[in-house]
Amino acid sequence: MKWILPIAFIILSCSRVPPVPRTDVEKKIIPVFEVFGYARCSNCPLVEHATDSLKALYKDSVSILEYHLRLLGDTLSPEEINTKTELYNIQNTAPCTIIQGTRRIDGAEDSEETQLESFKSYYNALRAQKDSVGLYITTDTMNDTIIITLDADSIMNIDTLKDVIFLSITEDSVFFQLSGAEDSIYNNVVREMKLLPSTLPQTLSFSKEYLRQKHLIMMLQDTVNKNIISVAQRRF
Amino acid sequence: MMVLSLIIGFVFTPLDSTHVYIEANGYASLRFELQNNAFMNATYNLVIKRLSAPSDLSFDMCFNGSCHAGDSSAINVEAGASDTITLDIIGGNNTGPLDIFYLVYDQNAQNDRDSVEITGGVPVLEKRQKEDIYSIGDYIYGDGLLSARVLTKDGRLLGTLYPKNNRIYTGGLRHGVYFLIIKTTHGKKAIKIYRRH
Repeated sequence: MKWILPIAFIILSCSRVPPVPRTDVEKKIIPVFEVFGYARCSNCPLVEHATDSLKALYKDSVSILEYHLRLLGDTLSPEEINTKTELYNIQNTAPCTIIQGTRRIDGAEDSEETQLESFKSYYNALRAQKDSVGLYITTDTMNDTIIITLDADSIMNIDTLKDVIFLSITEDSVFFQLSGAEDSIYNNVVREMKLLPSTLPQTLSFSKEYLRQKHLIMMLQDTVNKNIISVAQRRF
Repeated sequence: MMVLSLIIGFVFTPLDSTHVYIEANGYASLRFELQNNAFMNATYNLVIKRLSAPSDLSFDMCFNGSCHAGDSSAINVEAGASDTITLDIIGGNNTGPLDIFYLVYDQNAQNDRDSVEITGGVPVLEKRQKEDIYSIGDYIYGDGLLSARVLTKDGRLLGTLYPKNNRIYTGGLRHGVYFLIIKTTHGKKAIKIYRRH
């Protein structure tokens, strides 16, 4: 009879793993830079090159989205980006950079270096803050489909009445040539955008082929004060 | 001071030729200087008025680090300062003559206004396709351009011009009639041009 107790203990230990708290609950904010421009905008490349440099410096700890306004022949981003242009009241003026949803910078600095330094200071200030929600993505693969689950560490910090989730898929090295446009290769181009409710967890499916070499960015945003609360991103 | 500023107003000056020919789906960039001579900062409306232009012609105005797509915009200029405005005229698929006015007026004193007339056109493609070499404005266009020997109407050789970006610039020639012997990868052809200044 003496051996029953230890065996029962072992069986119970194996069948029920105690929940392990996520160690990244107190993770830092991923600063988000949203750039609105169009191919023929001659002042836009300076900002775009600076955000490219920012991404090269900070890699996945920064999130860059370049929305191509459908102006003067630019068709790189879908019409769904109008949800964002309406949110920020962006008309036909570019470049316009929105940092973390709340700080708006119209136009470009005098040089790429100055622009980058300005962005870096915003990045450092934001990076010092903690992410109160901790949005995260997990993926699973089934045949040719990637199943994406979006969840958060602290769901109680989400206000489902005013917070929404923006799903964006961006692409690098997009070739697009227009007469009068300074650049012909664009990075961080928003190719798809969806507005989702902020109820979590959420599951979405994409074909593997579609996501190849693309970047999925999910951001939780307060639609009232426009602050981007939390971001999760995954490169495929 | 208000009266004085209305009298002095602003000066709006084109920095490039305002006679432009734009390739279909091509563009032309024109620069303008806007000088605020008043003693106070001013906001100026910039408006394109189309008298005659292909329907799909579009405009982009760039200044102070921003670009504004469309037929109108507004610029703030500090007292006594000047700004350069770049106007991109972007051709579409349609062709036709171009006659527009680039109108500037002070938002707070709308009678204080000035305008610059921009003329030219988006040439008809069919005509260009029939001719292998053609002259538009200050340039000679053609397929496989190699050089252009410039002769006076008396047959005196003035020199040879070479292409840049697949076109030969003839804007440096003075007023008069010239014969150009154009050498292309397809052979030689002589054309006559008339330079006006």
